Amino acid sequence: MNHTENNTAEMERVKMFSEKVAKVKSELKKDVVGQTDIIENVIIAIVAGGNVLLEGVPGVGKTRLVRSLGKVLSLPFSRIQFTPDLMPSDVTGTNIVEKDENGKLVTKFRPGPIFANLVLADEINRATPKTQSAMLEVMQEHKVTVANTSYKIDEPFFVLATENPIEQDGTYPLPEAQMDRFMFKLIVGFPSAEELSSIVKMTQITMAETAEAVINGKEILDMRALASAVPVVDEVLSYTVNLVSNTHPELETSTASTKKYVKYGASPRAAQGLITAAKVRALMSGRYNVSYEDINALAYPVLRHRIKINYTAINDKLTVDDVISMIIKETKKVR
Amino acid sequence: MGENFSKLKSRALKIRLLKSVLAGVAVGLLCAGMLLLLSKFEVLAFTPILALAIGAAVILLMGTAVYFLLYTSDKTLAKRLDRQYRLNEKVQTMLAYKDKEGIIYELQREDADASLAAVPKKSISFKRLWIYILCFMIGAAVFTASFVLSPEETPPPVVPDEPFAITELQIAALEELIKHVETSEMASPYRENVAQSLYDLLDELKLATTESEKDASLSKAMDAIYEQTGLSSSALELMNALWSYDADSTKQLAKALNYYEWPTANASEKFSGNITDVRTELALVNSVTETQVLFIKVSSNITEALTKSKIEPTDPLCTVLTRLATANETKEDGTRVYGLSTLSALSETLGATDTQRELDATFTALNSELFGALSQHAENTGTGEYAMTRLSELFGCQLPKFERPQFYESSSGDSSGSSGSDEGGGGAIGGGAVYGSDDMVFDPYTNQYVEYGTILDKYYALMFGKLQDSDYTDEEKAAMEKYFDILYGGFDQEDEE
Repeated sequence: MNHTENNTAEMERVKMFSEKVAKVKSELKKDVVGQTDIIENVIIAIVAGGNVLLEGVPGVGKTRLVRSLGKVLSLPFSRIQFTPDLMPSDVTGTNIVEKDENGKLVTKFRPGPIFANLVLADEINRATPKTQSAMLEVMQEHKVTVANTSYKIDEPFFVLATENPIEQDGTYPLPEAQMDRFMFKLIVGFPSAEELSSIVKMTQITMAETAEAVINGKEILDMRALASAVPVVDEVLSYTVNLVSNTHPELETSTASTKKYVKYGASPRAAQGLITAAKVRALMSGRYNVSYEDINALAYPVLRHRIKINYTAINDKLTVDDVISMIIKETKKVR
Repeated sequence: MGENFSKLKSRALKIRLLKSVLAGVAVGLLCAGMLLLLSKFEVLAFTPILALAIGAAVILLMGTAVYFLLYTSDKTLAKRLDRQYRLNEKVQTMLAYKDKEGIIYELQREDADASLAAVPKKSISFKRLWIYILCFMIGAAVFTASFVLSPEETPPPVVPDEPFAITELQIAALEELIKHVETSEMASPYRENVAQSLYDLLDELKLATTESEKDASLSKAMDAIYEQTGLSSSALELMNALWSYDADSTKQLAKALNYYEWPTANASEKFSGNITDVRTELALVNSVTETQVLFIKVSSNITEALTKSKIEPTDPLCTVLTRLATANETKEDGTRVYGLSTLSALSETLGATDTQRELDATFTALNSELFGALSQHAENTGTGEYAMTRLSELFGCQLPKFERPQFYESSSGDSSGSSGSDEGGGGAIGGGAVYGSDDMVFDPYTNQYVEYGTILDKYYALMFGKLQDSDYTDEEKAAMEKYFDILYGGFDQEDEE
């Protein structure tokens, strides 16, 4: 393939990116009323190859969004309802003993529901830490190890988990290590009166999702590859690194707000996730470079589950997002 | 790099140049203007050319400095554009990846350039240009002001013209002075002229109502008297002319004529002594030949000096000195008067002894005539200078510098002619600093001017009587007596001189 053909192919990919994003959005909107930002961020995470933790009260459409997404993506989709008695093998799969064609007893691996491209981990915080930990390897490395044998999961692979912030009884807060595996934590808010009205009307007709598949796994991987080529200027990269570093109260260079309100800061995965997601966001915005605005906009979903605020912040009635706003503001000053 | 970015960069460069020029010219004009103003108001000494040269140098330096200070790299410009026009770091990215190949980079560059195309170019970089324009205007204003403004002529301080009215005492004193001049031995017409000047002064002072009028009248009178004094004292130039010759005898003769050093009381004796010195000087030679040469030399010196000076040929001093130089007279009674040139010619015949004897005879014959001639000059000078000194005392006006022979300064150490050294009245010239007993002072008991010594005796007698009759303490009596002792002590000094 010569240079011109290459360019043409690239141009096709760029064109396809915008079209596909528009189509996905359009299809998702058939089933999900409102929640524009959530849809936008979920698409970003999927293209960027990140996992998403959706937090919201019951009934706001978290599961519906993910189910609808499963349809739109035209990818193998599985749903795991996390409960306290769910075992790790229920997630990853297990070796079973069965007879082969010759009647001999052999051990055979039976893949669990995790072996899909899109996994809905519903109410993930209801499972025990042991079961939650079963997700660690697969979320990060996209493989499962059972009895010393690793099983690769087909790309693209995403975990979209949901959790309910209200009911604390019988729940197990996700460990920090697992939280860090989620690229985004999205807060699904209660719909507005107008949106609620639309939801009610829509569900009177049918409860089933009507979205149709508009994109496949290969196309998602192509989109990801394209997004990774989006240039990031050094200043923006430095700003991103500073922003993440500034969430660490133990660092001398961190901001005053961090020192006052943050217990511990975000991991390096946050900076990686920010840049990767920002590239996708830039392309989705019709831009071909990452800007400070991308970083600032994505700082909330990327950082909110990675930093832990202290008692002073709680006492001052501040949320994690409030503290992130402060850190952004103070980091901007020295930009 | 994008076309639009290049255009903006070029525009930024032009504006940078404009700012540099404005800043340079502003500071240069300000500097030159300030220097010109300072030199105009005499705070600093700068010629206009130097001030303008410094201004030009400052324009160059400042312009260059500002040009480099305002240097903006492509990166900084890109950053500024992104920030100012909210371009989402498109320009910075375009610049950072300008050499990268790939469809995304190309699209990025196109996107950035398209965004820059939408930037209103005229608004760029003119930010804060008004500051430079304002600075330029200030500089130009100061520079213009340096030409337009000129230091206000400081008017001389207005001295309020004090009212003046001549007092009765001053009138009396002035009339006394006029009388003194009129009765003096000052030669005519100088005496009359000086007296007339004083009459005129008296008339003017009687009419004068302000200090300035008084000063003007006094100045005029002083000038007139000074002129008359100079005209009447031509012996001064003669002394200077004689002093200019090498011969010691001639110099000695110049000194002998110096009536300025005559004491008041015994001028004749002083003169005789001086003439004897001249005679002695002429007798110092040993041989006839030397005598001939010396006599001829002194004779010709005298003749030349008389010619050089402005002394009138009819002046008795001129006559007697001519005779001293060239006389060859034999009177009816047989006495002879041989001038120096005649004696020189006769010396070989007469021999050394007779020559000296004839010389003595000549000096003896001419002595009284010479003294008389000099006395007239002394009287002229003394009267004129006394009149000026009295005017100064009476009205507080400035005395002119009285002229004295060239050698006078070296011999007396004072040529100022100030009132302190010329207090002697009635033609007394020179003398010590002691207030003279013949000075005229006002006696309030008799309302007349009397001699100082007289009134001092009178006052002492009065005081002595009061001391005897009153209740003064011993300490007070001692103080008063001491005061009069000091005053009389002054007399003692003068008497000794």
